[in-house]
Amino acid sequence: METLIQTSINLCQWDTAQLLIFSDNVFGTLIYYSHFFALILSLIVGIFVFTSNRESLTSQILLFMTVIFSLWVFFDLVLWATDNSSFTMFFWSLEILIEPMIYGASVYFLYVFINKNDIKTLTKILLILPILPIIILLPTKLTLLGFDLTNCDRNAVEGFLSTYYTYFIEILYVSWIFVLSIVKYIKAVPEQKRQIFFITLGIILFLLSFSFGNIIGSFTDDWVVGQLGLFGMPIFAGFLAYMIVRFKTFNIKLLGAQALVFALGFLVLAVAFIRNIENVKLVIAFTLLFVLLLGRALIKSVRKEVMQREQLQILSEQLFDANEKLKGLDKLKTEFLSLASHQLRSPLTAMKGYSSMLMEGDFGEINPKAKEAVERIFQSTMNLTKIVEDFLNVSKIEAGGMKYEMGTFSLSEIARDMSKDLSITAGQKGLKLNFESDSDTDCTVNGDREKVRQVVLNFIDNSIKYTKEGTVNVSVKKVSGKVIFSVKDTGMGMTPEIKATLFQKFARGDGARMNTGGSGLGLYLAKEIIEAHKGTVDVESDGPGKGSNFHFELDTIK
Amino acid sequence: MQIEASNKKSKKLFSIFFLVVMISIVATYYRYVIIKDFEITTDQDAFNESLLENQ
Repeated sequence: METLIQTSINLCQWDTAQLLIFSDNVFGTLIYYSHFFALILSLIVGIFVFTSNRESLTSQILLFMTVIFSLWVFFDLVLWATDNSSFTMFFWSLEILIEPMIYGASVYFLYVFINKNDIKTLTKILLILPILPIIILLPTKLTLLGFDLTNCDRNAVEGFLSTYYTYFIEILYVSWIFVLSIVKYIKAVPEQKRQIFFITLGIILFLLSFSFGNIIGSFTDDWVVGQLGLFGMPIFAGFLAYMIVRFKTFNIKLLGAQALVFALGFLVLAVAFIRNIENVKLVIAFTLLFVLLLGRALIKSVRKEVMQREQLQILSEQLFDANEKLKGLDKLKTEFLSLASHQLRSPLTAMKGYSSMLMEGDFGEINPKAKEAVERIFQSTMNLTKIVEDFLNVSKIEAGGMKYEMGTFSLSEIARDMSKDLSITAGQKGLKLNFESDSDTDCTVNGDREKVRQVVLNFIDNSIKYTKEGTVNVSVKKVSGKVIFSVKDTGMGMTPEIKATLFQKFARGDGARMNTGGSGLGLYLAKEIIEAHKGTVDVESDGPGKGSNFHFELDTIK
Repeated sequence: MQIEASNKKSKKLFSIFFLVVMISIVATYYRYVIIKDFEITTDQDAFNESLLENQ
């Protein structure tokens, strides 16, 4: 028997393959062309899409599909080239294994592409189940019966699984794709409909052209025709590239264009190696189809891109000019504020001092009506002084001239003192002001005592101002290396929209209705001061009328 | 939490799947390439003609 086999092999005069794929057994240059083209292009598409977005599941599945397709193409080339019957049996089996996996992966890809999300584990199990018999029975006679030496064909003889079952499940997967696409298409919005249509068309064309050669080969034993099926890959890649350009599916326009140029270069180069004029015509026809489809889409995309870039350039120049003007105006404003604040402070100090002296009777007794007027002058002067101080601080911060005199102090001590001072004001409004804190030593922080005191005052004062009834709870706690100061009230609260802008300059929120005298700078200054101490400021509120909780935290001294 | 659990399940499923695939490939390689356990169909007439030519 051994002699019979060896004699038969010798009679066939096969060439021995170099590097598995190079031998004279591959009798047409078109075979190398079709295989290399499909292999390289599919890998380029898969790797480009994957590297552009590694986290995307669609990219990962597409990479898997293109890698196993490339493996299939490589194994097919080995089958063409090898004279080793063992290799033929082994690589033929691998092809039978890979084919249904490409179909299954295509269904998975379509699911994720349309849903923009992963599928359930149960669906994945259903996708894998039909392939399991092939995997388990791969090394048995149900897959391959043996090796056929008659007529020097070098073919494996396919068993029941490879002749009938694989095609049954491939039809099953294609039907699955059809049903899924139709169902999703019906439910989709117009823009999604186009995406579903094109991705389904691309996948179906790829799978049909891929199957075409195999089905013909299995039933007729004419495996040369099967090579035409490989040209399905450029069609699929063409549709994929169209998806990239048209719908920005993977957002890799540039990479898509690079892939096109590379593929075109490869196509043109391939022509130089084809001697048969019929094959040249075939290659040129495919090249032309490829160029027309992708070229048109890319030209449209580039034109749109150029127009957008030009518009963007004009807008950018306008924005630059506007920004320069704004910077100049901002500088002028800061200088003006600084100057004005300084100039205002002097007369205000005089007004405050003299009105205070008048009230205390330094210039003799004044009648009660005049005294009431002087008290109002004094109070208004105090308010005005506070606003001027705020303006001055803002202009200092913006000019980068705010100075902090750092030192260690107890935040709870400051908060306690401020609470005590302001409890009179709270009591006058009928509010209860509570204070609680951890020990002073636990709440020691490093910072500018005066500036932090200003923030504490601002928070408590605000809560009293914007709370009509109920309580204001002030607390200072040490929590995991931080000292947290918070003021919780039963006041007017706020909406999430107001909360988002509350710490911005001149933001008043709904508080403007209750307190018309504020500058809208207090919380902005508080945020700037605390952040300068490497701390954080925030506010929480369940909504309007539900109170609020202003708090800031600073690092404690270890 | 549900997504994480689903990802873990998915990873397990694919790990088992690829393990089974690898076992199947190794078994196929062992049968066809190492021990060469497969039938070969030959052309008896061509063999006979070859013998006659040699004689």
